[in-house]
Amino acid sequence: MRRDPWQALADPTRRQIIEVLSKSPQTVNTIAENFAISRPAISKQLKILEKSALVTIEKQGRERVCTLTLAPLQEVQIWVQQYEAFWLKKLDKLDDYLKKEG
Amino acid sequence: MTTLTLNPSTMQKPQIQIKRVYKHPAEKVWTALTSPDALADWLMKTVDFKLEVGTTFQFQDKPQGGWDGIVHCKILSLDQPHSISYSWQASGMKNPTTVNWQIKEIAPNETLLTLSHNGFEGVSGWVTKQILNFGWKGMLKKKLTKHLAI
Repeated sequence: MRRDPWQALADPTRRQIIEVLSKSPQTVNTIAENFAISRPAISKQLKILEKSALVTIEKQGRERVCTLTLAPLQEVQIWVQQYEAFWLKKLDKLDDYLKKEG
Repeated sequence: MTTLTLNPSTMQKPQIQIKRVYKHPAEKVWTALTSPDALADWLMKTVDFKLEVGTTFQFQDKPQGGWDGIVHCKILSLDQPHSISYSWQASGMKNPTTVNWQIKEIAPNETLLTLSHNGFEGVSGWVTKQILNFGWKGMLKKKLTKHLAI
């Protein structure tokens, strides 16, 4: 079961990891260099991001390369935008209804 | 490699809040939001709608774009004539979302209506497919234009 991506983003360290990865894919070691916390701690946060489908982790030789994907967030955003358009239309219809009822 | 844009709105859980002022008394707006006849006129036809906390009911419309035309709802709270909220689950939603209506008479014959719709957590595979087939391109273009305008 995929984790809620926004829940994954609630944590400041994970948000920072996202920032680091937004520039280019990075190995777990290079990511860890940006942080004061230990490498295992970073790995743990990366696993959470991986479960939310925000980050893919791929083995390349001895290194593990992390790549960011914002698709899970964008999917939901587009869906919400469609709902917003739906409600705007319906609220106009509500106005028509109220006028009609006098 | 694709360049990804990180903007603050992408990092926040999306939710909808729309405010509208109607030139009608609050009681009338309340009736329009809670009577099956009125709802059928401006929103959707209801099935088993009863103004009672805990009631489960459905909104029904013509199936379209992969959606089966049914929204499953449950009344979560009621405060006549000030507010009503119900869960809202259409096919393809992983979790039910929540719709909340707040009604406030701000002047005689002037009612502020606030609609909040939140709890959008994830969509199942086929919804994504629908979005990719029909909506993605247009929406992305619109979003991009908006982004560039800032």
